[in-house]
Amino acid sequence: MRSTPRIGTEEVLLSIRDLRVTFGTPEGQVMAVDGTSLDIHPGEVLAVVGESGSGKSQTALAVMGLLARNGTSEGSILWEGREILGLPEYQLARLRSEEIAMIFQNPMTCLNPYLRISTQMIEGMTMNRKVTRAQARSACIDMLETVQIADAANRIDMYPHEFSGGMLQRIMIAMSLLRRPRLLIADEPTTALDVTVQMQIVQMLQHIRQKYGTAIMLITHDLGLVASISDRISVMYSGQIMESGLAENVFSSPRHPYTQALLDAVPRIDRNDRKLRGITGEPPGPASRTSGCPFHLRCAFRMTSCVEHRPDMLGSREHAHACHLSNET
Amino acid sequence: MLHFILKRTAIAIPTILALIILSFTLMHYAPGSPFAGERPLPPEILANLEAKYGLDRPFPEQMARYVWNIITEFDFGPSYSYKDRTVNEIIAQGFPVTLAYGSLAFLVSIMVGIALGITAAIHRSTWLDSLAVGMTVGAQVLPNFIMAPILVLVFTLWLGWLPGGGWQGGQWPYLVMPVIALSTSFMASIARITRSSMIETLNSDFILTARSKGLPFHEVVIRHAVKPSMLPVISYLGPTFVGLITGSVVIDIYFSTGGIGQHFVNAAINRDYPLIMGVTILTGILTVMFNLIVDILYVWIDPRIRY
Repeated sequence: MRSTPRIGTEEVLLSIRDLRVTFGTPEGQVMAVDGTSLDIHPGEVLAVVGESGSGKSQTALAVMGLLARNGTSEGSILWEGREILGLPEYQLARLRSEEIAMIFQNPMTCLNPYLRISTQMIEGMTMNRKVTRAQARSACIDMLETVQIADAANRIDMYPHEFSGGMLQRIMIAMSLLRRPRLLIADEPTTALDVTVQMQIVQMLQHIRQKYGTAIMLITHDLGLVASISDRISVMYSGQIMESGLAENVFSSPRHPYTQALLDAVPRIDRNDRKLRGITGEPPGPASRTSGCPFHLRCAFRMTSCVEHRPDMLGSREHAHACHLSNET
Repeated sequence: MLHFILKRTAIAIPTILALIILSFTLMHYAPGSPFAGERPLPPEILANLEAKYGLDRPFPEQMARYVWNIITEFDFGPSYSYKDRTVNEIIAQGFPVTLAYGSLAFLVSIMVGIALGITAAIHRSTWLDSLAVGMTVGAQVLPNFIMAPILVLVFTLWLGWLPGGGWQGGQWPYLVMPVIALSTSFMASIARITRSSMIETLNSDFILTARSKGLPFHEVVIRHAVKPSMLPVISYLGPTFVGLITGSVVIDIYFSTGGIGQHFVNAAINRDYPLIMGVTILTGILTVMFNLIVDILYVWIDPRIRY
């Protein structure tokens, strides 16, 4: 049996247990998420780190109930202790409208180019709540000011193409916060943006967390981004969690060879050789999941057991990882 | 916007002038004569006729006179085959009929086509989708010259519900079959375009955003997906409307509706030059007009397009 980080008595907002997401394709079943478990507590920032194709985004979409049509999810997703996996669409819509919000990678394509910002912001508010359009509008303007959109009262009636990418991402953040969600899922929120703008967005998320106490699930492959903001980290590879724990633990003493390699691949100015290091090999695509530890093909410390058995996730909530190497010692 | 419309209208004038010159020239040099019947006419009578209609004049003069009459008096000349009627009269009589059932067919194609297309797209790969796609394919492979006799066979001869032809000032029983026969294939095309465009739109990132806001799916479709999906449909509507007017050839022949469509063919067979010119120019003006309307709709729908 695979043990997951033990749940303490502390309140858990979102608890994912052994989540599997599969997609039916003409070539057969493709497993994007393969037994992922993670917890998010109120007000904390959890970073889910991994290469592209590691199943981070699909995990998030499964939580939102927004998987593509051919996707199915199994396992368990608990929202404040209540199972939300397999809820009927109208209840999921309600959850998305009131509890969990999400922002995406590319703000330039995530807003409807045919509608004014005001229309897109207001529509989510006037639907379930007893708010007039005028009230909603002024709340939207306030929120735009919170994310530092200057001259919000006039700009709210502009169209998305009249804004820059960074501004659009801040508008997306403002829009997601209007409903005062308890959890904000940010799927690669800075990837499509200029480096100078990336920090702005991160600071904005930090600010939001402090102001509203919103928990944030930050999906990213950018370890630098993670270091500055997250409380806890889950490292994902090939649809599975490799290592998870408090940010400082994972950063200062990474235990899984994959995490070590990932951290080693971050270019550092203080290193003598100044060489760019990568991880040799390619991550296995969702279509070619292997048995045993998914990292064994690229791992420098491979043993026979790595090919045969999938390692269990062992450790505590502060720091846990799934690797035969250290589990045996 | 006004500037854009004025500019486009100004461009339309030389376009139509070019159309006139081109069709006039083509017609003039085409073999045959309006007065070449089964029995050749005596040369004196032929000369008289040609003198009466000005056909004995040099070609540039004929054309200049024709264009001049249109510009100054909006006169398209006398018909050669309908002896005592002018082209203006023939068009004034036939065009309203065509416009009546053509517009109805246009509305029916748009409404049914778009509804079918959207239904198919949002129920993609379900039996509803297959049904809708099946219907559109069926409608598309049945051209109106096959639809028309089938309709007459079923509704007139077998069931006896509808009159097999005639117009009677456009009373509805006389409209039903012409409208159905004319609209099916266009309806099918619109449905297909709507479906694929809608499917593409539904895969957009902004649809995911809208859904992540907790909007119910039907609201997402209505508020976010319909407008962008309509652009390819709209660009198809210009040619469609003109196609409905010219497509009325078959309708007028099968249902004796007396529209302008029958003149497309008859005028050409009879070498009725002024009538051919009249219908051609009418079609040309309609084409230019509808393309302008389509362009204006584009600007209205997509805020990123500016002229």
